[in-house]
Amino acid sequence: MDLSAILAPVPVVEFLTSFLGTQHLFVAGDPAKFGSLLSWQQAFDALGHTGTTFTWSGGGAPSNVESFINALNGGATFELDRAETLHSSLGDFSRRLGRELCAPVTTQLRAGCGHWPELQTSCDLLILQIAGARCFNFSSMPDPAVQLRSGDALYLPRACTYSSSSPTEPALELVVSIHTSTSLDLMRWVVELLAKDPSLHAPVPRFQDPAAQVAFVTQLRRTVAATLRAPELLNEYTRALDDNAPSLAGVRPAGSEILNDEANIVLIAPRKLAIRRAGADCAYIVSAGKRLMFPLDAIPLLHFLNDLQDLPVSRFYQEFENNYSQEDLAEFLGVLAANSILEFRSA
Amino acid sequence: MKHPGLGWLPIRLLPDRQPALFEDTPVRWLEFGSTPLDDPFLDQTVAKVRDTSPAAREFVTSQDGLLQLGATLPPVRPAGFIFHISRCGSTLVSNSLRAAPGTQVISESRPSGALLRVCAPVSPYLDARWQRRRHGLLEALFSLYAHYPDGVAKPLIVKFSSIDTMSLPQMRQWWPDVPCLFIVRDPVEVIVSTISTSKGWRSLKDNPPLANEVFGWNGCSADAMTNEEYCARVLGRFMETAASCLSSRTEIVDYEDLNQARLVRIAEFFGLKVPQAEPTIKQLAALYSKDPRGKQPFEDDRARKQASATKEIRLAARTWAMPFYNHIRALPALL
Repeated sequence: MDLSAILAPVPVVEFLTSFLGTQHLFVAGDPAKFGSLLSWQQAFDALGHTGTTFTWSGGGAPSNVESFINALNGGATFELDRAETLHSSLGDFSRRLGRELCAPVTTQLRAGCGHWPELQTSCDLLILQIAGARCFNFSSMPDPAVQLRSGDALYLPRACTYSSSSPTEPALELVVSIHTSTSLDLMRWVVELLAKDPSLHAPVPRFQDPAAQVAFVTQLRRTVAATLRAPELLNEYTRALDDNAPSLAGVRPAGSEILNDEANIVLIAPRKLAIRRAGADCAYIVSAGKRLMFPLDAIPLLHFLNDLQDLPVSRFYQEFENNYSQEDLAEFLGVLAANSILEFRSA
Repeated sequence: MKHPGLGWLPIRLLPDRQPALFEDTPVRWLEFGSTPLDDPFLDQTVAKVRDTSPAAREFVTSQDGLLQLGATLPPVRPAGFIFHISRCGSTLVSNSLRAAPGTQVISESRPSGALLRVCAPVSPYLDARWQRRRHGLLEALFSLYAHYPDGVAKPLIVKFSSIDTMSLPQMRQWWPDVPCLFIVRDPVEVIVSTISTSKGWRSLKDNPPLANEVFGWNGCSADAMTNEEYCARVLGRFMETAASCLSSRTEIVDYEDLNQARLVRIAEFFGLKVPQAEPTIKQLAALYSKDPRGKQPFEDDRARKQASATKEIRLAARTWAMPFYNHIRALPALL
């Protein structure tokens, strides 16, 4: 499942240009739309997972999914932060969204019935209603109430205040937090850039005459303004963000880390690989802050992996068998795996 | 859906010399506002906008940024393409088409030229991938041009640089139904015009491997050619390439046949209404087409160019260009 499937029928480009960071978006969906992401059984199985908070005053821990749902119906609440560590499909889902949104993405599982207190979002949220229904109330939006049913999705920009309730049945939702950078983050990066300018290491003339102090501030303003006016500022910042995006910790099923002909290759880099020229004969990629160099003839392999993201090893070998030996291809995959660009999973 | 970025257009797109390998290259945008794109060349409008006070804003995005902004607009089918061999009245034709009300005419945009540049193959997978990507980038570009400046789609005519003729076969594959005009001229006159310049395709003579790659020369190399032979061979390649992909939606016109009536027929070929604009076409035909001020009178220099052609120019033209020129003039597609 990717962003296009979550937002359908709203085009992804419309979401990115008209909604992300600016206004909320409700997307109605088929009740089974998010069934492949998570089920009540999987939520119940997560009770023993690290980071789970299950609050219930009604007695012992539920023994099966039915008693789990009954407990929720009776007022219990369930939360699991960093749900992407629960199983590899949620991890892959988070990574894929992070690549599409070019921002770190974390997920939280929430379940419960009844009224939830007012919250203000600290980052952009994409709420996927897996099961049940929840009503969201907004104090300062044109639509004061939005009802989410199974298969619906709701995007809320940062700093949105809302309360919610599931009055009649337990609701299960996956809350995707999109950690987009802010103006403050950009300014911190600009300060790091400016730190390379020797003129900004001059002392502040605290005890000099007004003319000298004004001249100092004027020059400072010009230097900062020149940096902020550069047409390539946001493009370079975006590149730096992508290059240094942290790896998302995944879940590796036991026994599937070894390259073999039956395995699948799964791209786990936090961002789409940006392949850049390093000279006449070589290229580089940057992933999680680490630069890796490659000869030019490795670039078709990188693009192929970037495009497909999840494919059988055999397909990879077949695509390039006329140009490379299988040993060379295996060595190439090994280098990428060792640098957490990809991993192998049993098919 | 709201269309963001109205009034902004890409002005520079510098792909890597092997764009199939490296797509992470920047696109530079300029805020045109609502400045009409009515200068003979888009570069002239860019210079004019950059010269305003306060300075027009500029911005840099990735190629993906161009694709994304183009995707916010409905796709367009251009009303027509103009290809040519250089110094053959193509600017007069594009200027005259601006007389058709509501028509957007883009003349020799650098971003489209950058995307049409012919490159040596790299690998089947990457070449196919780059073809898809640059098709998408061109579609985005054409959408932005057609919807400039107000978000309302206008008939779009795109005139390309002469060197873009080498990509004419690919353009016919991508847009087979778009009317396409190919303008030719006596190669002797074109060589006389271009032999002392160092711009455009003339400058490639100083980069023989690139010239060989662009013009598809095997067995001969630009550095072994005289200037006359180089010019004649290039013109021959332009005409040979155009002749190889003619279709029912292609017309050819010769510079010597360009007159007011022919200009009106060209507009009709592109589906543009020009009856009210005919007096304007007459005025345009009397002016030097490349003057952005629209004041310099047109001078018919054919006789002067023929008279000044050296015997080296005539020999080179006869050997490398005239066969293709005579062939193309004999085709039924001649307008």
